[in-house]
Amino acid sequence: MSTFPPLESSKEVYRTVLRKEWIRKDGSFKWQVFKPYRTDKDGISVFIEPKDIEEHSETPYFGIASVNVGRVRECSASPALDVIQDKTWHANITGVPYPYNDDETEDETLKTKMIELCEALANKASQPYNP
Amino acid sequence: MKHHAQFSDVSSIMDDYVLIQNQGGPSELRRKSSSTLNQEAWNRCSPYERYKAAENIYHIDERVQAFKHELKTSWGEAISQLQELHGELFDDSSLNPAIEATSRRAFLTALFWLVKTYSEDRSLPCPDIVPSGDGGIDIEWTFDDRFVSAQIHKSNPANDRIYFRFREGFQSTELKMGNLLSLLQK
Repeated sequence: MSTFPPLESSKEVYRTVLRKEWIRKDGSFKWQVFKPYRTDKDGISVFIEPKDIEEHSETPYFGIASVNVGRVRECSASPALDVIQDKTWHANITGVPYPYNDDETEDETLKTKMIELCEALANKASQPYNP
Repeated sequence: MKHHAQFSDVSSIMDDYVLIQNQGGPSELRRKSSSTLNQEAWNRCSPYERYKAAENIYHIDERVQAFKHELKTSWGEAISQLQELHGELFDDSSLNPAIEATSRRAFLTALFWLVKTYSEDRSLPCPDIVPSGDGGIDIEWTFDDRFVSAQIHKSNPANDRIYFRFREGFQSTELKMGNLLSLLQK
């Protein structure tokens, strides 16, 4: 249970882009930007402010995807997506299926839904600036 | 090591060849009408014999060399993208620790699917080669009315699968050439 109040719908949150191949030539983002990392067990990791990225993010990263909290919530009714803050500088986009099992098997139904939601998030993201 | 690298590079297009072992001479590959490689004979060869046999391909059948040149010309961007990922097999120190380097298995399997798909239909547009972030590779085509992603897992062939979208809503199907072509050729 988060000890932080719900984020305002107008709030932007930020996801670092860890591979250059995930940014198209026109600057838009591929769905892989929002694919959960293995460490994203609580949700898709995002930063609260751009300044938090420099302080808390590992390098390298190749860009920053900015997405509006309200638009994240609009992405899907089932499962419902939300952005839950868990640190002063960090939040998680919750609701996207976590695709990894310990035995390296995959649930194709969950993964299909994951890709669909990741694409929806990527389509709603934009670049605030380049690092 | 160089011989092994060349062997893995050409093995994916040697489906139509049979190995002939000549008495007192080098082995050579000849094109055969059926589509299965003489695996038993191939397995008996040493790595060096295989390398020499692969070299002989270019003398026996100029079409193989021409095919490879055509692939690099028409799908050159995909080949370049794959070659960039090849470097990660030996050195992943430049990657962000939150993601995984492309695995050898994913690289070779993606190369195989790239070559086979192109050989099936040379009119298809060049795909995007996208590292998945968890050691695999996604081979992707974007059309006006659909999106097709052939996803190669880093280690488990059972997870190799096609994920696709027609206008809205994703579905998935088994990664087989027939399935892939039917999605790409619509």
